[in-house]
Amino acid sequence: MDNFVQIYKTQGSVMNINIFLSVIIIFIGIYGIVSKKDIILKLLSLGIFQSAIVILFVVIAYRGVSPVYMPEIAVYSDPLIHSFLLTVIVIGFANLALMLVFVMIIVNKYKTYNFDEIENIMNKK
Amino acid sequence: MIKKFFLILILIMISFISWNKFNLSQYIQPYLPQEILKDNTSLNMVSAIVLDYRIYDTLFEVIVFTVAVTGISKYLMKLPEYGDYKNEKDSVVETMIPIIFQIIVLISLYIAITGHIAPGGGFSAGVILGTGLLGVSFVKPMEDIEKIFVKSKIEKLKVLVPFIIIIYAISGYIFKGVYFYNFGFFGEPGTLFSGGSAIILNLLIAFEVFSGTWTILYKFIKHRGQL
Repeated sequence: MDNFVQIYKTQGSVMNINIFLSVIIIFIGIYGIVSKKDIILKLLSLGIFQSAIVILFVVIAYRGVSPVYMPEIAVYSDPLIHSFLLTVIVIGFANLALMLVFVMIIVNKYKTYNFDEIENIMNKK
Repeated sequence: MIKKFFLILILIMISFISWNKFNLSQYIQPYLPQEILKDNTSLNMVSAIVLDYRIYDTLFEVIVFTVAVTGISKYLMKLPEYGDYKNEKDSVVETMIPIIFQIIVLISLYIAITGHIAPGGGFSAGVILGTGLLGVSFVKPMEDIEKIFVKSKIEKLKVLVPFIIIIYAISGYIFKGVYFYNFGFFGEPGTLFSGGSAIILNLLIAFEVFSGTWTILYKFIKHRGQL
């Protein structure tokens, strides 16, 4: 119990470092989405972006103990944010798969991964 | 140009965060643990929120997941299939995967059934079972898996799960006057029969996510070589 109280008191400093790191990963993801020319790498960057947001919200919810009730503990990690993240992960997985299917159709049609080349071909038509 | 812009943006954001020692965690929790335990009798608070307080979220999540998976199997029909399938034999994989698969099935059922007592629940159980079937595709020839997939009619059965959840919602309205009224077992917290209808909903969601994951993996294996 004392150990837990200590974690709860010192979480302010820990939180800031973790938020800081997850924001860096978010920007790595956004940078990838904007700058990469390959469509699949764009989608992977989108995955990185999403995972970083999940990490950010896990950090925000963090209070040292997982939200499963135990008699002697008073403060838990926030269960509401965890339940939202459950939704985000499952839907993200399904949507990433759907987007990959669309990429497969595009690649099958234009025979290239490069975004600029695809735009050129579409403009010529 | 873009690189410089992003570098500056990142530096501004990071400096903003390090200057202001803002702590996002200091807000009031909307659901108190003791109240959840009293209302819902499930020890796992995430399960109580997902399957009781915010079940509309879960319902529409299941619907979105189903639609996405249906879209995957519809759009992949247009693409050519990968013809030559040769299993490279590896003795370690061939002996271990049938053993591991049984353990995976047991674990996923356990996680689905005890989702309201311990960490876990329908979503994780479904993903675990679907990933176990990916292992089976390393060992068995593609034709056998295709036979099982077509014979089980899982592609059609998975569409029924949202309807069953909607029937559950409407039956709550008919009998108790509220949509999604929590029927079910309200036993001693920590026992199997507690947490309202958590067991049934967890099993339904586990089936849904399992069938979706299996469909995605199976279709991607079948149409591989496109990217």
